[in-house]
Amino acid sequence: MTDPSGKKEIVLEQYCTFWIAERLFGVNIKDVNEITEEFKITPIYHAPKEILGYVNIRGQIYLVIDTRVVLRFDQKSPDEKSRIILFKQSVGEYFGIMVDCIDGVVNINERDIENRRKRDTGSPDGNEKRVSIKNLEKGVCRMENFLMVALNAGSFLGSIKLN
Amino acid sequence: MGFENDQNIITDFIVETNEHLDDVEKTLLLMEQTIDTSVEDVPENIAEIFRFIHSIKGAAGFLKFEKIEKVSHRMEALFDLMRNGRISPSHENLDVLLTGLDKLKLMMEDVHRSNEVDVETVLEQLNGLINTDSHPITKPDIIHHDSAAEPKKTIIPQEDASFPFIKDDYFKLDDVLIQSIPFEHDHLYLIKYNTLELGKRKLDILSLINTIITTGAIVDYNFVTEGLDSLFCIVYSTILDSDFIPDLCKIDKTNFIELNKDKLTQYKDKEQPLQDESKAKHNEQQPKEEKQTIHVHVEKEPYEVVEPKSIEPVQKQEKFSTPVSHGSPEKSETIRIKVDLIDRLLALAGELVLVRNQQNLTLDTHDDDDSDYARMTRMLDKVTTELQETVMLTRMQPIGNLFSKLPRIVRDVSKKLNKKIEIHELGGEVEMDKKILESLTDPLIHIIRNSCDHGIELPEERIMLDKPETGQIIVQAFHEAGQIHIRVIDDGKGIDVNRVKQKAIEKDLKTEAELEQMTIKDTLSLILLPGFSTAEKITEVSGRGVGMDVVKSSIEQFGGVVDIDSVWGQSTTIYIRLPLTLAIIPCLIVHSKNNVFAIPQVNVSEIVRLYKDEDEYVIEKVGNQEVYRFRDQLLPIVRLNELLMYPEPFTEKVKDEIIKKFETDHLKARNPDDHADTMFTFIVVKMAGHSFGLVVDQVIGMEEIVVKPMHSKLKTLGIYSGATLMGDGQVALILDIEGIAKHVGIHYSSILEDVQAEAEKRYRFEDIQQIMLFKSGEHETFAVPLTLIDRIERFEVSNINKIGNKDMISINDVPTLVLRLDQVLDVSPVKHNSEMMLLLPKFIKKPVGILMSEVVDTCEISHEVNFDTYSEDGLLGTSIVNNQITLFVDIFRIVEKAQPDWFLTRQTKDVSFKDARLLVLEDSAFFRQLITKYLESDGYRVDVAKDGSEGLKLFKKNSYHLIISDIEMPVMNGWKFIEHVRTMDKNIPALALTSLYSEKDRTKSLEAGFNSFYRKIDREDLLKGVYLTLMKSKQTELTLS
Repeated sequence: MTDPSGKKEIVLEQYCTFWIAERLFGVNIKDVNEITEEFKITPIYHAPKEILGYVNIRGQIYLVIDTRVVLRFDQKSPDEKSRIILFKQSVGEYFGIMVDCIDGVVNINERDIENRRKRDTGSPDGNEKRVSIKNLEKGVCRMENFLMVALNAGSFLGSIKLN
Repeated sequence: MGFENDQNIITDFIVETNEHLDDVEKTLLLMEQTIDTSVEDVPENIAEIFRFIHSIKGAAGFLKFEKIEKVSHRMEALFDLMRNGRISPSHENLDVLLTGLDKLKLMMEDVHRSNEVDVETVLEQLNGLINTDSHPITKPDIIHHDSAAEPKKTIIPQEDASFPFIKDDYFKLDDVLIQSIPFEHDHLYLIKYNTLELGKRKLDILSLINTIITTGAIVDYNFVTEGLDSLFCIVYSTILDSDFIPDLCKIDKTNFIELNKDKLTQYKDKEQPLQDESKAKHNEQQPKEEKQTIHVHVEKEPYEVVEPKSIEPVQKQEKFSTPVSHGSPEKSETIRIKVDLIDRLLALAGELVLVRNQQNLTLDTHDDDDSDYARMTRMLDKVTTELQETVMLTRMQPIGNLFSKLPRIVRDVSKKLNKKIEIHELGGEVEMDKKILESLTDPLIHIIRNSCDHGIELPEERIMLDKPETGQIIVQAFHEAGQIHIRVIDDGKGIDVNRVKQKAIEKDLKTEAELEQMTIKDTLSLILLPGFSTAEKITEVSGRGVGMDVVKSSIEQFGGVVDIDSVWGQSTTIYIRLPLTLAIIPCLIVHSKNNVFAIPQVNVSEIVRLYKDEDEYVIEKVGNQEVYRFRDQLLPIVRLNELLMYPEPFTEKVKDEIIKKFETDHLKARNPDDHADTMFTFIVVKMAGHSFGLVVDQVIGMEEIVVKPMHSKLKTLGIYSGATLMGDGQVALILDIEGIAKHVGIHYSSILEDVQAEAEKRYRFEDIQQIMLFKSGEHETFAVPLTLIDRIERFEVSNINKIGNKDMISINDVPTLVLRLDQVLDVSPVKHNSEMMLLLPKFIKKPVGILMSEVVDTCEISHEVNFDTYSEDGLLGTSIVNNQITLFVDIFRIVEKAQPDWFLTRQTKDVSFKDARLLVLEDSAFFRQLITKYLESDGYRVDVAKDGSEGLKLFKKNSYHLIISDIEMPVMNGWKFIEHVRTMDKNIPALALTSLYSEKDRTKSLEAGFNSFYRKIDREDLLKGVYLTLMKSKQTELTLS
């Protein structure tokens, strides 16, 4: 990734955008393997609450992460608009994230992603939870009508807390 | 390097060479074992390893791994000499060859840097052996015509005796290779490439080979160095006339010659009768011996043909496939496939299964059974299942592949340590996933080295301890409860729990109080913690600062478990359990909370369904654990639904909560209409000998499932062993029964105990005996079993009164005789401290005490006392306790020695019992020896047995006058034993001798068939009893006759 604050030439990246709790998020489309409507999720009792369960995608078992828990929104059961974004193996061992609904694909300039983290360093809210979200959030990007929060797909698995 | 771009070839080379090296090693070790017995049998094996080394040499030269080539060349030469019987495989030779082999292995670890390895010493060693032979190796060996049994044949092209470019090397074509020449290939050429020159001409030898094998076949190839040039020579068979060769092969006429193939066939025509008409047409023949080898010697001297024989071209034999493959016939049945390809295949097969399942579902709804569609679906179903199973098997490899490495390690280590160790591998056929097998290699080797180094004692020590001189290590693999179990047992000195404790305190890992609480097994497992090594000195073999923690972490990394157990002085057992990933296992499918779970069938013993209206539906409570009385056994009950709700291991509070919940639930469920609650289903699940009932909502049935490992983020969840896909595509979790037992806190003693019990049968692991160590004089340490001590009294020396030549002391107003060990034994005089102690023994009728200057310790010994090494009258024997020679005092005998008049009654016994034969049953080695000694000292003949079943065997075989039996024994106890005896013999007197002395036990013993009952172990009582019993039976005998 290009350094977002660096003054380099325009680096266009495609982001897959989606909605969670009325907010727009995006992940780099290079990390995305596919988007599925498959919701036969098998719950895994005893697993951390960030984990919704297992889903079978053509013979491969994927772990599904509840993005609402990771991003600390209220939980909600999936409806007909819900989708699971499955990531490539290069991002992490077979997993996907449940999102409220898919928005689309946008071209954005990597340098337009503002790193909130940099400005945030002085924040008194320095507890660990906050830190893990900060790792997940790459930055914020101004879209036409909305703000899109760009997420690091590779940080999802790390945000699961093990007992 | 000419072909550095072609990494594939190098990879193939590495894989193949390593395989060959393994085979060579195996054969060498085999030869070493048989060396003393049959020197004659060897050549058979050598011919094979010769070929392996030969092809390594060839390929290494081709790839310019010069050092590898050099070493293998010398080894090849040595093998050749051996093969021809010029030198015999001695221990020395094999040592050098193994050293060479190790060098090769070392270089193979990093082939690209193999040329940097110093091989001079090895080469010298090898040369040393070669030169001891009268024929230097630089001369090609020509096999002479002198023996008809000589299997080697030499074929020399006659046409061009001065073929210029090959000096001292030759091709060795075994008959399989010759046979593989397609029959229509009339011409056989020997072609030489100068690899350097090729490079200059920008020719790639690989593409050249690809070209020429389009019009013929490469029968063999070889590498030769000539001055600075490196030559690549091939034997090439084709239908093409020699005119075409230069163009085709891009060489000039000087660089190839034609070998006379017809000549070869002609020879065999002469030599052998035709065997088969069809073959006769092709002028072919069957070789007499399978392993015949035909050498093509190429040298400057005129070629000479010596007894050629049997070359058989066969039409459809394998052709030359890759430049590095050097086809031996049995290898052709396997091919090498990249693992990721198999993985992909596996994934695809999995997807196919799902498609098949979906199709099956549609079939259910819209077609009748006879339609074409239905039939095709069934076919597809069948084929898919088989396909999936087959693909699955491709990843499995027998653990024997790993086991086969161990003998060499044990051999080397034991040589280095001057120990005698044998290793036995069992269950090598157990298959496991390749990946797991690979990650198991290092830990297992580490464990084996540990056993050799720290476990097995030196031969002298072993002899002293009355153990067989040669230590045994057993490595065993087996399937159980859906896991692969591996255990390594050695009969060495075991692990000293006390030292482990000491170390744990030193390292601040545990406090003394904590250690108090821990079981022996838990204490031993401290060894598995990082930085924990009880080895006093770091040895080259196992103590490179790497401890068992590495073993533990690498096994846990793929979901395995390591356990450790040891009997100090006897044995150590390392126990590894590994998950079976990628395996198909039959599972019981159950529902709980509307979710599907699979329970491996190996864990399922039965399914129990209870109805509330019937009487059996009684779930009882033991503390806060629900139990069900199941055939005389209390079965703990675990409710799966509840279990799933508590992610943390059950605390007592959680257990209380659950049990309370169901107390009220039971009351509510009285409503007869509520069906779900009137029925209660549980699966009796077992793991390693223990069982519990797992309550589920619904049982679906058995299904074969494919185990997929848990996501690595979830590996910490103990209650699952994996996941699987059901027919409808849904994911189901596989329950880990042992993990569940742990989670809910059913405390079963671990699996290890069962293993130990089994091992006990094999090894005669002896019981643990508690002893007290004390001193009397300056030097010796004495021991007395705690069971024979009544109490210890402290007193001031000044309180001893002299009465005549006797020392007396008043203890609780009883005048007690003070016995000094130096009065009755040849030991140093009693050391007088201001405060002395008196040991008051049990079972001595008169007041007597043994004077002690110091009580050293009490400890447990687990090995037999050596009754033979030092046996003075009054001692039971000696043993090494805490590295000190310790004298075991025979209290009865020394009291007898000091006060013979106390024992007069028994000594007037009838001498006619001298030949009475007694059978003694006793599981404790110590007591066994003690009893035997007592009985033998009274002149009886004694046979001993460790348990009831052994006793029965002896009883059936021999005739006895009297039986003395312990009650508590493994396998078959004393009661069962005597019941069996009574079915055969009503009259033989039998005495029970036991430490159980409640009235109930006495009654039970008499009911079972014993005549009388004695306490363990009152010598006088017992001997008197034996005497009286024999007396009585003799009288009855007399009256009967």
